[in-house]
Amino acid sequence: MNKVKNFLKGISGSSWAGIALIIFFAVAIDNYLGSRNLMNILRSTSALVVVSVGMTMAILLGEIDMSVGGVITISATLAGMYMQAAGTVTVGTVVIAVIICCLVGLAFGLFNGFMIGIKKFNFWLVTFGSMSISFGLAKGVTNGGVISGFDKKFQWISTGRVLGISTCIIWAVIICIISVLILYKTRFGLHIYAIGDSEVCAANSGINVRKTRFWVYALSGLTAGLAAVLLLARTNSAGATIGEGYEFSAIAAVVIGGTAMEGGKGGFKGTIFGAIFISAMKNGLQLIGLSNYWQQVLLGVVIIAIILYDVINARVRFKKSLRRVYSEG
Amino acid sequence: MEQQQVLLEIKNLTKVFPGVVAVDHVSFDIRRGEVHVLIGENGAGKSTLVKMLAGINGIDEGELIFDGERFKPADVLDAQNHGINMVHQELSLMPNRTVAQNIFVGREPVKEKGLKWVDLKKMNEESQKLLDGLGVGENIRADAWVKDLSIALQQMVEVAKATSTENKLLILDEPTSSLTTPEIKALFEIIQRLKERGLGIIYISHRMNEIFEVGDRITVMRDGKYVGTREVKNTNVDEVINMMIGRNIGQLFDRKWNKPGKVLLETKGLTGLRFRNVNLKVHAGEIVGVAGLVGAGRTEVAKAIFGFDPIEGGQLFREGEEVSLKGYTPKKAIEKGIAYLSEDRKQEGLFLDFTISDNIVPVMLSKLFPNGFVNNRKKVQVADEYIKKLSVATTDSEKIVGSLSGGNQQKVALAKWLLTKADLFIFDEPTRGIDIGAKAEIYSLMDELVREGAGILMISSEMTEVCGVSDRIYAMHDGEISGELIRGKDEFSEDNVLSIMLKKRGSHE
Repeated sequence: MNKVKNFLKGISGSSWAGIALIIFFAVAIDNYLGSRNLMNILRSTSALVVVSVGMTMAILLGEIDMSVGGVITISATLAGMYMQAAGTVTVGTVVIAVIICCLVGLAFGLFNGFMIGIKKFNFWLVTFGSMSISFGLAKGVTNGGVISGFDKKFQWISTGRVLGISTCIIWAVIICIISVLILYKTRFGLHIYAIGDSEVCAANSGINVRKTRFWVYALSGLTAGLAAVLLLARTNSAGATIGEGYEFSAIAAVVIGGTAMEGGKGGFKGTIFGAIFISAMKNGLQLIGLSNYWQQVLLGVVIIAIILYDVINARVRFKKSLRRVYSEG
Repeated sequence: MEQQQVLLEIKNLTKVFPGVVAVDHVSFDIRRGEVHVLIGENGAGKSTLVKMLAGINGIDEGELIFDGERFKPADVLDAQNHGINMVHQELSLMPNRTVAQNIFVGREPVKEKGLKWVDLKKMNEESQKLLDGLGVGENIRADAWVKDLSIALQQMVEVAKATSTENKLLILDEPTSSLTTPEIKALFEIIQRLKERGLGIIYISHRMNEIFEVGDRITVMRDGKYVGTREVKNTNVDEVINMMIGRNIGQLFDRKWNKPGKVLLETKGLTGLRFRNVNLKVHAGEIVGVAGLVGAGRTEVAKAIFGFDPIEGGQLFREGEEVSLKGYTPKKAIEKGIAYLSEDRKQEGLFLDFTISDNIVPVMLSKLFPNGFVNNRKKVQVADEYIKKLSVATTDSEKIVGSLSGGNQQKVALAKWLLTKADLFIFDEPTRGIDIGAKAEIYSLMDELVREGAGILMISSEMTEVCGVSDRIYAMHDGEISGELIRGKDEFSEDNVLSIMLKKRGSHE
């Protein structure tokens, strides 16, 4: 009985919320757990989980990259404009469009990394600045309009099927696997954790803190660019709002996944769960007919509730561990 | 042959920080296979010096001859690559990583074939071998989380980390400041093993008995300068202390003992998050020292009495009257005439970027300026009065506090509390990081305060200080008061204080 109790206590707030969510929607919506809808959920997770790669790394450092939503927008917009200008779309144009997304994302990432990592400016100011620049640029070059109607060849990136699985899911899985390997298996990955856990210790141990931080933001820009590709091909349109709110969703996915805001604790595996959770919730709310606006409100409430649960739990455990130390004596 | 013995020659090493020459043309040498003790009061420049050797602080002047060659460490990694490693005073491990990851951080082994993945298995095996070699492999598993280890074991992990590379010089900065007796013994055994391997070891400590047990030679520093080097077998405690303080002990701790008056503060069964059942008394006219290891709960008790940390149980009496602990905050404590001089002057005690006058008045704003507007002339007037009273070395009251020396900063922090007319002072490590001259001034100020009828509770890790200025000494261990010494009744010696602070009350051992 005690074992069961301890097991239940060990489950994080987000897992409880996930279980509750699935039960609720499964009862409320026909075929919510059907393979078709599950595919839908995973498809809408794909771009989010990719942009969350960079966000996970930034938060593991104890920082945040606020610019990812804007970077997605400008990357997608510029690639879309290129394809429109190119007219006839060949495989070559598609490849160039993808490269444009990646390069634009990487460029913003390198800028952020240079300013924050090498020049030691505050990460809030720099990434907020980049966010404003990227959103503004996207609005400026499109004049606030929307570009849409791309060639099927380009759309295939997200909407195609291989062995019955949507291509966007396959890309996302590949990127996830690479990210997990980088984070858990390379020296770079371990150094991210080390810096997040104790920057002084990391520096005293000879880790190049500046360089590591530089590459984290560079990678975050790159993953935002990759997310832009998936999003652009899936929605078949680009405009000044395509990446809006992605910074928030990505932070939410990371935090729901159990990565601590103070850095050094957590990891990308949790983020994958967090991203799926958010998409599943949005999908369910859409299906029961809640408008976008109210979805946003509810999402905020749920995230705060989950975090509250976990924080309170951690505090109780901390106090208990202190008492245990005393009573043992 | 003699040439071969010398591992490191330090020549005229100098480091200047804003407002202070932290290390001033220091020269001495370290031999292979010796434990070279570096000793000096707080602020003597020991830590700054060894940080230069370890590549953390840059070298402003002077040179090092290491292993027969001129050497100037570019950074930590460079020093490590040459075989110089340091175990820091504050533990500098990553709590949320495993032991192995901590030991190998910054130079994780990678697989030779294919993509250069980190070789976690090799990392664990090598770490375990290292821990076994130090004789602590049974207590520490390489894959354990560091946060789950006791402080003593974490220290061992630090030593393992520092000796994991090809090592020639190991620097231990106050390694025992949070260890108990058996733990210290275990550490000394490790030091013995490392000595036999031919390592040169620089050992920084405050504790005399330890130094004479583990050291081969002793070098004394004072106020950033080199005082002298002695063979342990040719010197004694008195000589070393005299070298450290550069004057007669009686002159440094100039106290006029007087009879204690009424009880100013009493706690009964005070319990909080990191301490429990604390009973203590402070009388008017006495300085009560609180000794204990780092982490024993001393600062936590002080902060609880000051209303900063929550109190979960027990009672607090001020001049015999019980203080209501409901909604007890620093504001209430200040109203009750309690003052707390923080151990962390730079973070908690002062606004470093503010002027002297802005640092002196904040607690008393509403009393000094009852209409709500700050009157600059009055502010400066008040500040000038206390600058004069405490002889703060400054041109005027509008100087930025951060630019003052440690001793003068401490005087400003103190002035703030003197202004409140408090009569119960809690001094938490009052002389940390300040020079001998300023120290003597702080002690005589404390003496003046208690002669005027105030009571002082002084937390200190420095044995000479605790023994030198206290009327009574409480020792804390593991969140509890573990013993008490009374001047006139008990002998105030380092050994006596250590014996009560390292042993738990009612211990079954």
